[in-house]
Amino acid sequence: MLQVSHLTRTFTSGTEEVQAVNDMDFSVERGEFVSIIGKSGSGKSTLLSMLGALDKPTGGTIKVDGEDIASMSDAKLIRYRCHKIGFVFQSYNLIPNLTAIENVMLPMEFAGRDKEAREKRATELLEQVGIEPDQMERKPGKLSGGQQQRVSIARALANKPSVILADEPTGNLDEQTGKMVFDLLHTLAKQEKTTIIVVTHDLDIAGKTDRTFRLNDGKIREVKK
Amino acid sequence: MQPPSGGMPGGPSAGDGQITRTFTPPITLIGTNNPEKSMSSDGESGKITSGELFANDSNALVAVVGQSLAEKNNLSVDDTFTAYDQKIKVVGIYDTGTDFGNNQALMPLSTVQRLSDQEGDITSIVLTINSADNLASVSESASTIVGENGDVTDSASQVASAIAPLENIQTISLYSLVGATVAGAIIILLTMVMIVRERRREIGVIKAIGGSNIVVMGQFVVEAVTLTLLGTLAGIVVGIAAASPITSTLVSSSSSAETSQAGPTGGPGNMMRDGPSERFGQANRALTQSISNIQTNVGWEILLWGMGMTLVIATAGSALASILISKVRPAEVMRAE
Ligand SMILES: Nc1ncnc2c1ncn2[C@@H]1O[C@H](COP(=O)(O)OP(=O)(O)OP(=O)(O)O)[C@@H](O)[C@H]1O
Ligand SMILES: [Mg+2]
Repeated sequence: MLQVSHLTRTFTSGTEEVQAVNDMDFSVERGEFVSIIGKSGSGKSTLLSMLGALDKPTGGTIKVDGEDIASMSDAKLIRYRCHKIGFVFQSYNLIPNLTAIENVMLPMEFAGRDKEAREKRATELLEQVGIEPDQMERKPGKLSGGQQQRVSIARALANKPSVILADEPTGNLDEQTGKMVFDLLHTLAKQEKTTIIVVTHDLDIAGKTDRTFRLNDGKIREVKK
Repeated sequence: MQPPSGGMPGGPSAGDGQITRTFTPPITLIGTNNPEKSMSSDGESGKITSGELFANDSNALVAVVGQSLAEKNNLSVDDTFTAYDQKIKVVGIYDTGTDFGNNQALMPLSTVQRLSDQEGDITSIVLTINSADNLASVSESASTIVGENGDVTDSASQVASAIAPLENIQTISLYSLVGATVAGAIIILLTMVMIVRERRREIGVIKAIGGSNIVVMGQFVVEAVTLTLLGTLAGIVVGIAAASPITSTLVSSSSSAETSQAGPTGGPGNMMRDGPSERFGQANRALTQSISNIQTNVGWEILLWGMGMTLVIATAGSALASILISKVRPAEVMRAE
């Protein structure tokens, strides 16, 4: 369902050109759980931004369900992000002045769902990720890192996306909490048949995924088990 | 009668006999059909200290005498003195607060005209005009009526100088208003820049999870408009509360400067006449008084102008915010804080 070919992203800062992603080819099947590893600066975040339509490639194509997002209009990209993609970030990125449940309801509001449906689905999702009812009414500042990351997983799942893109989702958490969050991501994705692409430094975590890719200087290579 | 400053006895009353001066200041005797006005000098309204004024249309042999003149000549109410070979009865003593004013005597106009064989003649007519706006037209009509028989002078320059402080204040206010508006606009715009900067990540996140620019802008436009409206409201409240004290301060400072220029210039020697400069001083004083009593109102035009500017500033603030928002790249949220 995801086909990447000749994908390139070049940054020009001043006179220097950086090939953050350099002529990449790979594909991912529906419902697959894929991990991406690679040392710092190898282009992992850049690749994920382009898969999530946060950034535009300088070359190549990204076909999602047969449609090339590299050549989509801005309005279409917003809809693509809203309906097809769920993001989980290393630094959670919840909206600070909204409560946990409001944060989960926000993407559904952008998708145009009515308030009742939003509330119902948000409550269900938050229960699934193990957030207590009283924590649902709290703002992110009053939740622990692990709790915030669970809320952000619930937010990523809100619009039943076809792909969840997670950039080091356990990077800010201790090992135990990280494992818990990772397992949660895993089970929920399997339940909802969601494709997951997760960037991680944790080789244990990478070992548990269906497939692993290693990035090196903007080039991608699958790691055979 | 003897002038208070000493010198030659001017009348039959006994002097001290020691004549050392060759110069005798004359006593000013005014024939008037408005003693109330005539005993005022230089804006100081005279007060009757004993006795009373004669009637405006009196033609009796009576006089009211200035305090200094009365003291020097030992005159009190019901005493008499001689003028034009007639015994004139003192019916009142007055005090104007100035030596010059107190060195005069007032008699009914028709009495003086009769005694001095100037039946029907008058030296001056004072016209009091209800509004400074009518000054020019009244002056013109007066000239037409008087024709060749006299001159008409008006206190136009006094009016102009009395109004000048008001115009100054208007200019100051206008500049302040423009200055405040510009400052307000800059503050609002800078605030918008700061708000957008501070919430850059939040904007990026909203875009990343499927919010359009318009969704984010909507939020910021609401904030810009609320901010500006609150500012305007506070401005109007403070403005209305502060307008009066500020105006009085401005008026008193700038009009005191004006009046000190228009000091009394009338000297003694104008028998039976009000010195014109004295009259002008009076007019000027009256005008300045009415300026110090000025009422400050916040006009509707100003309020509307303020509202209009509010709208412009809010729109500019929103537009600026929108531009900044659309420049936020959602890919930035991938970067750790
Ligand atoms: N906006 C940008 N402008 C210029 N260069 C950039 C920009 N974003 C990324 N880069 C460069 O692209 C390269 C890849 O960056 P990227 O963030 O994708 O690395 P990463 O693999 O995610 O690293 P990390 O593991 O540290 O997060 C780096 O050399 C980086 O400096
Ligand atoms: Mg990264």
